[in-house]
Amino acid sequence: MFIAIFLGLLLGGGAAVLFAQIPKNLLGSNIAPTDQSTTVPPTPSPTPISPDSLTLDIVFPKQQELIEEDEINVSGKTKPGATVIATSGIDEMTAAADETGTFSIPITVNQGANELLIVSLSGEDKTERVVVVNYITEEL
Amino acid sequence: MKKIIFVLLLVLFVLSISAVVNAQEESTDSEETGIKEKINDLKERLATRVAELRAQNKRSFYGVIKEKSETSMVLLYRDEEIPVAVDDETSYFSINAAGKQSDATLTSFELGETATVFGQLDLDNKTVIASYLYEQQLSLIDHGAVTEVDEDDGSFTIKSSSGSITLDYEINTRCTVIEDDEKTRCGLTSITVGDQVFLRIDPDAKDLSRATALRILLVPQLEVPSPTSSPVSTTHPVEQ
Repeated sequence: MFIAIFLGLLLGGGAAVLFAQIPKNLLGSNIAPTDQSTTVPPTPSPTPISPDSLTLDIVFPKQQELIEEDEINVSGKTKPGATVIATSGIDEMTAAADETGTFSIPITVNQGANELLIVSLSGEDKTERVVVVNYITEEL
Repeated sequence: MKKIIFVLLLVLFVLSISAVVNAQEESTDSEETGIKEKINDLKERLATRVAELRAQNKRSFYGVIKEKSETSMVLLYRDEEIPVAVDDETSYFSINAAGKQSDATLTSFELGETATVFGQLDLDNKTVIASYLYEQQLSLIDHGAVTEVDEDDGSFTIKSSSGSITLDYEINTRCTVIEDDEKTRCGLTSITVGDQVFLRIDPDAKDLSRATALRILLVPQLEVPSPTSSPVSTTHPVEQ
């Protein structure tokens, strides 16, 4: 009796595992299609970067960042030792990236939208980013 | 005897009834207090959550006005579009080139101009319900190497990624040099051929090759590459 139950459970479990392993496209059209975007993580498109290119990643601020102070620290990462320039419509400042390439530049912004120009200079190489930040004094 | 027993039983019955009623009243009072506390706790948690959501849903966006109606607008920046909803509670302002703010109305916002919206994200997670709308035209950004300085004309020319452009140096032009984190003012005479300049400009509407320099960050050329230098030696750091 117990042996029969055990064998039944074993066979049933094995069949369930096998069924779960069968690819979905082999199961026929009666299976509802699943939303791939919820199950498969998006594949980032590769950005070809030559080994010698001067990279410049802005950590803060993000594009269209809402800020509530008129002075912010533009931070990010570039080539170690590179000179980084940040300009807004009312201020300019430079800083040198440290040995890890990290930089932080204080800069003053205007009420409303500001297009920040951030440039990394290393020798004759130059890379730039333009980031919009929006500053408001009123409480939202 | 039967009467006495009956009276005693009656008294006991009345006492037990009153005890039950008292107990019920006490428990009702404590239940009411508990419910009130729960309601107050829920109110506080709801208010906190609303404040958190409001903080999370704060949004701003700057872009060109692509579409406009009496109740909505679409702003476009690069390839991103944001729908904006306006209502009676929206406040409108205009910011001029000097950064001065003045009152404005929805009618003063025109297609093709630029605007900045501040507000809360709607339930669709895309539309911004505008609390504040700013009409503002930002100065253009340019940078490049100086190729010519004409002090008589009060101008200098740069070669940028967009081509050659001549910039008028005017009274209000602000030129800055930064050395060792110290900012110093400079003038047209400080600019020499080969310098790198990072600019905010006001382009000439009639002549695309000419503009007014509003702000200049001057990075003097400290090292002139010799003709014999290797063209691949681009990794030496530039001392600023």
